[in-house]
Amino acid sequence: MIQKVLRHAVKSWVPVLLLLALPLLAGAAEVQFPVPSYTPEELAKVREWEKTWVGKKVDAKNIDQVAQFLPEGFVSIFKNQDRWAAPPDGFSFLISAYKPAGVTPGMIEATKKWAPLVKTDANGKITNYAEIAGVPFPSPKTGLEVAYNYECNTRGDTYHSRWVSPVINPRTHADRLAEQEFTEMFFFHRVDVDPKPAYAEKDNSKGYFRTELMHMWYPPEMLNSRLLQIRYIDDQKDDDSYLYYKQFRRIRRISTSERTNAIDGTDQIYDDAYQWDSHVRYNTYKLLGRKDLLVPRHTDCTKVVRVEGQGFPSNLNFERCNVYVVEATSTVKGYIYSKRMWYVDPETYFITWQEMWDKNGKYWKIMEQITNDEKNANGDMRNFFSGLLIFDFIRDHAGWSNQLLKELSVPTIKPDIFTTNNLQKTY
Amino acid sequence: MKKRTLLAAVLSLSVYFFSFLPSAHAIEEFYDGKLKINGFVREAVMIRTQMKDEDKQYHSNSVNYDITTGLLEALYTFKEDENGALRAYAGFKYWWEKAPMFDDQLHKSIYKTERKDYVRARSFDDDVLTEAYIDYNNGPLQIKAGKQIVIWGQLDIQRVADVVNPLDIRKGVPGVDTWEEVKRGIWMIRSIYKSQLPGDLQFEGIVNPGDYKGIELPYDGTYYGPEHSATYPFKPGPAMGIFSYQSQKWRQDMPGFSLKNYELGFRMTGYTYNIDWTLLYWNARDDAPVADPKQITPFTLKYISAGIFSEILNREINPPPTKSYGPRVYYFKRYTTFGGTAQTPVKPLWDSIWRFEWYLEKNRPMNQATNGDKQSTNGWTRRNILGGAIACSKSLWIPFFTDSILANSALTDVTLTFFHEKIFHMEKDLVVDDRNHRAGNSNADQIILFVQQNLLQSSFMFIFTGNYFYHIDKWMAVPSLTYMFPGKHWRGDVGYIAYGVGRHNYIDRTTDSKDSLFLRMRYEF
Repeated sequence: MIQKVLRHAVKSWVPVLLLLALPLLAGAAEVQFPVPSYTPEELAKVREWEKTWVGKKVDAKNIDQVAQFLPEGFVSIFKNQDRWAAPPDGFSFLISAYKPAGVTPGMIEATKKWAPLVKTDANGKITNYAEIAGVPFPSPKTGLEVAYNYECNTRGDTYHSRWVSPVINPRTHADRLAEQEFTEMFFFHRVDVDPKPAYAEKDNSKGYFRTELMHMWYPPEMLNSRLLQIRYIDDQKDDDSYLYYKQFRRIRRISTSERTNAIDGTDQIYDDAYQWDSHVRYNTYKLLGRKDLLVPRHTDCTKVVRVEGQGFPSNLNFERCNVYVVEATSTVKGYIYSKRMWYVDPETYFITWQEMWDKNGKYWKIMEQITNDEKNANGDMRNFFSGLLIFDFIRDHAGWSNQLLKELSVPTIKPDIFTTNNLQKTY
Repeated sequence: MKKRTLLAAVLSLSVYFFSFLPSAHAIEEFYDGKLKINGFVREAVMIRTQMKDEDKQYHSNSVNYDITTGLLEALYTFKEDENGALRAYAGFKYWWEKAPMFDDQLHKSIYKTERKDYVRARSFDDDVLTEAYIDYNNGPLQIKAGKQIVIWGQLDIQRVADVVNPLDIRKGVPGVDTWEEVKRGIWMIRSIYKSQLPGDLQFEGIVNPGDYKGIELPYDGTYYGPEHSATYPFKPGPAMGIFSYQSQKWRQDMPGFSLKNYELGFRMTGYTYNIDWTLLYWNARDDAPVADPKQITPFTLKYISAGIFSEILNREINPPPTKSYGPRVYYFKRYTTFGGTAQTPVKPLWDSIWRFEWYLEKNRPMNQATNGDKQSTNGWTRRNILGGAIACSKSLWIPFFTDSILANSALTDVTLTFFHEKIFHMEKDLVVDDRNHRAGNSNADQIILFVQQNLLQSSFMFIFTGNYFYHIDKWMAVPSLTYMFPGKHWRGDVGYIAYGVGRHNYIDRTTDSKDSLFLRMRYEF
């Protein structure tokens, strides 16, 4: 009798269940991620080019031969090395072979699961943003989709790194050292560290999206001062920021509306952190297509060679990558930049290169994000920051940041680190 | 004089050369990072650009202040893991004020026992050891036991909710010098508990078992103290000025360590409707005393008698040592403070940050004197005093300037603070001038302006600090420019301090006609 019932159930319900699951299975099957920079045909051409160039040093003498693969401003740096305090033998970089960037199994699994479930409104805004994880648009069609892919890169979910960041004045051949330690955690879109994809509401009642604690080591007057930054999942809610200034032992709430303020005398404004550090909604985006560029995506920045005041460090490794080109224009009236041009890595969605123009449309700055494959706490390889360069062509300034990763995707970085109470901890 | 000048110059230069340490770090680490050490050495000089004629006899030159200061902090981590940490922290400072060495008149105008304490750090516990405590934290609980400096409050020059530690203003002022230099550490047990209650409630308690420390006032004749010409009415007269005579007794009457001098504090912090707030309670003896009306007059008369005899006999006659005056003259009485703070961004108001602090001093002891003039003290009483300050902070974009090469896109930080205080049941005989009130006026108001501008990619920092008490027409303005030398360690400051004073009793002569140029050089490590 029981067997009859069971047979009946299987015959009746299994097909129904299969029919219901079909769209899901079909969706999952369709999602290809990661998407390599090149198709096989394109890659063959790249490999052909690499036969000539891999292992070669690019300097002032031969920069023109690879200029088509570099932003115009960067080429000018190499052609005018004296302006950037090059040492007597000049500065250079090395060409490496293209290799796919490290993407964790967690990111792949999350993308395949959630990308088919992304919902957008008529303007392309993701309406179920708090529910998803991974790359929402593995094959982006618009600039906004590329921007979302960038924003959903949770940088390993948690990390702890130390940045050694001199502010460079090439004219005077001088550095002013800034050194900070960053601890960051994402509460949503988590792919590598539990809880995935997000903290439950009861454990994140304030709706934090991302929190960052910066501990300052240099300059000396800022030693042991700390900055806590909080971003909310509700993109209509302003960020919160608290600064503990050790010398005066005060915890001060600081305004996060002044995103165009220079960060401690550098040529970066607050919006420039990580290349872009604000909500997606503050820009409009235009996808201009793809471009084959040389980008430093597998570079160990501890091996660079640089003297004080030198604007560009030698020994970086550049490889070809077919990046997305996105023009981002701020929706804020009177914004400091009239436009930004993003060159986005199609495998990691890091912004590898960025160009900025001032309010009058004059070419102003370029920023270069340097990355490398790092092993996270799960043993997986993941492409992650290893350095940052910035060049200001109007004021002849530069900045360099050697970003030394200490921990990646560790479960020990928890919400209780990101509290005002922790700002005053004895250090 | 010449030898002393030469010696002072050589030693100052030695400080500079010795400071060229090979270390390239702002913090030195030892024992695999368990021990961390940092600090600074600083040289500061004040050059008077203003001096009354009657003050000139007490100065051979315009260098009124030339101090070398050093601060060393050490942190040792015994244990640190995801459950908690156990650390030990200690801070040490030392100073050497050299101006009396190469200014004979200044040297003579500072009374000898005070000069010894002024020129160099006096005692290990009082002057050298800034803090020393064990810090234990485990989950939501943190306990700190030892000598500590605690800051409750967000504002700078005007301390409103900052009630725990007394000031030491012999050689510096709040808002300009670090807290380690202008605050006196107190031995206490402090515990902080972060609850899971709504609103991020955190509870903090402080128990000081009896380590009383009062405010350290600047010495007679020194840069931050009253001018000797104002405190030395007899010529010839006693070896010390009247302020020196009285403050010696003040220090002697200060209670030391005793369980009766316990201090208790409690503070609750929270976050509600986007406002970070605190509420506090503090019960302790006053940092400053009230004078016993029965004793202050006979005590002071001893000085006056000595002065009169000095003039009659035309030679120095000193009053009996203050230690020999048996009865207490100064009493440091207990009272309670309630207070709180709040800070929040306010978008509709220029997208700025607003801070509010308040206090209610319950039964604050105060002297009574004829027309409020403390030189004719005739009683003491208690009053409730309510005060508060509201501050608005905003980073400004200034047309043509912010985007220039000079500012390099760095916005200008401006904070404007308004402070108001009211003494309830005011009477005209209450002594209120030490609270910056006009005699007989229950209200005191102050405006404070702070401006900070980063220049030339952090090569320079311009800071302006100023305040104005408009009931008593007293003000201070301090513009300064700091240069960050390339590299990691050296900083140089140049600035000017301008004072405006409305009244001229000897207490206010601490700032009257003392406008000065200041120069500072720091080595931070």
